[in-house]
Amino acid sequence: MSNRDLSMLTPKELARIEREIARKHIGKFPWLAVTAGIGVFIGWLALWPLVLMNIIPAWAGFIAATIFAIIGYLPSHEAQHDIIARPGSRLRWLNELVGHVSTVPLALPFDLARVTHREHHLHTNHPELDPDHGSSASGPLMAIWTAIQNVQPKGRGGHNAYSRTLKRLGRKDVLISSALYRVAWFLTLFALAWTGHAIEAAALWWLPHHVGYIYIQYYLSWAPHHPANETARYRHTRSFRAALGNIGSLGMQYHIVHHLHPRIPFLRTPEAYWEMKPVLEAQGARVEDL
Amino acid sequence: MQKAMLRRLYKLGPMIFGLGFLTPLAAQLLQSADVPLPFGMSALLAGFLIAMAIAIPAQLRGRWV
Repeated sequence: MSNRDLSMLTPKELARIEREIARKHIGKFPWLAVTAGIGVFIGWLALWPLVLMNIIPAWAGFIAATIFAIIGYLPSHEAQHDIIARPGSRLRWLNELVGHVSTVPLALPFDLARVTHREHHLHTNHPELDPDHGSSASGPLMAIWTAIQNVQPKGRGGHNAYSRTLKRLGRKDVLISSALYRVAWFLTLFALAWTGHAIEAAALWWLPHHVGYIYIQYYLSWAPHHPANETARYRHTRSFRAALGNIGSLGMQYHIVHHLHPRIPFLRTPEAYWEMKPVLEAQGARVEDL
Repeated sequence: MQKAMLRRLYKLGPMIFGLGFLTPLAAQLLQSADVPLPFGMSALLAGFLIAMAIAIPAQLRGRWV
């Protein structure tokens, strides 16, 4: 179907075509996400004896742990959207397992990520209701600086924005479990540090947590929604050409497809994007950069 | 009570982190780099002073950087 044909269709008809394309990509079991999620966790765990026994230096462990922390968010993200298995299904336990273990290197509680991420989808770019709106910034350098500021104790975004969201939603259960998760994380770091393993703990968990949070805020929150001033379905998220490419940007170049159809597995979003692009253009979506 | 305790801990976060993590981290970094310390100071005391020099402003300002 040519672009000219599409321009004659109503938004409803375009949405129907879009849904038909999306349906082709939904429902495939995301084997790679499951393997990567569990693999990242096991790989990260393996770094501890490797670094503690001086088989690899702490700096190499830091690089590997940071990569694991960043990559681990993606399988967890699939689990947040129940892409691995829906509630009540036979493999639901696997969805929950992947969700929980893949963000351990990032020290991010899965339940917190799931609840706040859903709010992000429901209220994308809303200054009060989108928990990720704190990552908005005027340009790439400001986005990095804002991401650093967000992880400060009194930061506007990050965990403070997530706490506000959970309070607004009345999810005290998640608020308390997330707070306990954070306390347990700090106590583990303290115990490692006071038993003579502070450098290893910093290299394998503390620094990867911070670098990972900043990287994820930049590529998952800031870049796909910049300038974050529109809230309409086809306007709040964009496709973009990342300086680090699609792999370096964690596949976020095609994030618009994820926002329109969150049940499409992450690895199928590029294919779905190229199939949908003429329809998205006709809908007035922000797809001009890619 | 659990909630109040968590809130108190959270408010004192930078100081607790300075004592719990940054002090031994700075001490172990000094030791591993063989940095000569003045006045026969122990690595742990030097680590504590470095950690507090970072943690106290962070506690007062509410941000590390």
